[in-house]
Amino acid sequence: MLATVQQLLVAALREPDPLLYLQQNVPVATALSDDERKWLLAVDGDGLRLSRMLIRKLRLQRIVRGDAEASAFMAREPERFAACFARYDREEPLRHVFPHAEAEAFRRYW
Amino acid sequence: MPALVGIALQPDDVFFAHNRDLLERAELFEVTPETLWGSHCQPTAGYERLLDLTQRRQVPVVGHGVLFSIGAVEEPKRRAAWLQALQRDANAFGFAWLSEHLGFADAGDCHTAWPLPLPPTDEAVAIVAKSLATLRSACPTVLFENNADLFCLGEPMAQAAFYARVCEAADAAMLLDLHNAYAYCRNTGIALRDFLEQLPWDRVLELHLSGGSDSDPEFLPSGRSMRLDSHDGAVPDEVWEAMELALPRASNLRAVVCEWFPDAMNDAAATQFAADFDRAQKLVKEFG
Repeated sequence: MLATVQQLLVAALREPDPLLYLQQNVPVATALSDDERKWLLAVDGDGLRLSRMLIRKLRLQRIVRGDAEASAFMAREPERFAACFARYDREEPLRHVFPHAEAEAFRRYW
Repeated sequence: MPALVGIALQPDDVFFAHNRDLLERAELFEVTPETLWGSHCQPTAGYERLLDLTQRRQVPVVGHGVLFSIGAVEEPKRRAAWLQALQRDANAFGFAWLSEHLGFADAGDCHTAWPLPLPPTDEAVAIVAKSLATLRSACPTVLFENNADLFCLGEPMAQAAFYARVCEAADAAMLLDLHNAYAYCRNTGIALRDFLEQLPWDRVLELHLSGGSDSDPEFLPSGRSMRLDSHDGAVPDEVWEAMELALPRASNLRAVVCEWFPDAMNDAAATQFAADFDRAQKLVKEFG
């Protein structure tokens, strides 16, 4: 089922090693056709890793575009900002579409 | 009638300041509504700026979206509000047509902000066709755009036939992004020319033309570099060759839209952007 393919891919892209996630979870997923299972297990690991990086970059951009203070924080204390962002990205589900909402959620992690 | 050559509008000061001449010469404008929205999809100052320009210039305007998530099985919670905003904007700008990126950006209550690849299945075709039918309430003519995917599900070449099946099932047209096709083929290891040969050319209504960049080899443990759709450089030779192949084949082509992101806009970029626009215009006239 396509819903399961999409859930597995998005979950994988939240993991530090997305390919490993698929290798561990696709074989035990029940709602997949033979083709879907085969395709998910054959996904290019480099492409997955780079996709994960781009999704995180877009999240970071939403934060700094959505809040001038967050942008100033990043310029002023880049290392502390990076640590806050890493914790935020690890702990908070990817839910926000617009910059202001993402930035507001990030404020709890400063 | 030859296709119109236009630009993708960006509301940023830097884009307006560096492209004054192109803003007056463009034969068509493309607007991405969702980049002009604030909370609850309400228009921002950038929205008014683009509306003022398009109303003054009186050239055709087309809409282009990224995150309607037309391939998502789980309908995003934002969809009703998003659709209502698209309907408002289609009326305000007078969109001649509305395009959306193929793919899904929502699953398991997560939003990736990046359209991810779909497998070439009947189920995926049906989901996309249903979403495009929904989009028709905003604009009767709907298109979908191919992505610069970094991975694929199934044989890479099968995506060309998948596009044709979506066109058929949805009675939709296609926005063929030539740089995305180049990037996709490079990233998945297939020949661009072979891929292009298999596309549903009679359905191609619009072309996107842009440059991009190669990812830093340090990003990946393998040291591999992949092609990114970053809209921040000159149109590469391979993409110009693709355009020369596309123009005689796309018999229903109505527009070629040049793109450059504002983050990468400066004097040199604006000069290159204008040169790419001029070259596109010349090619369209030659083949028109």
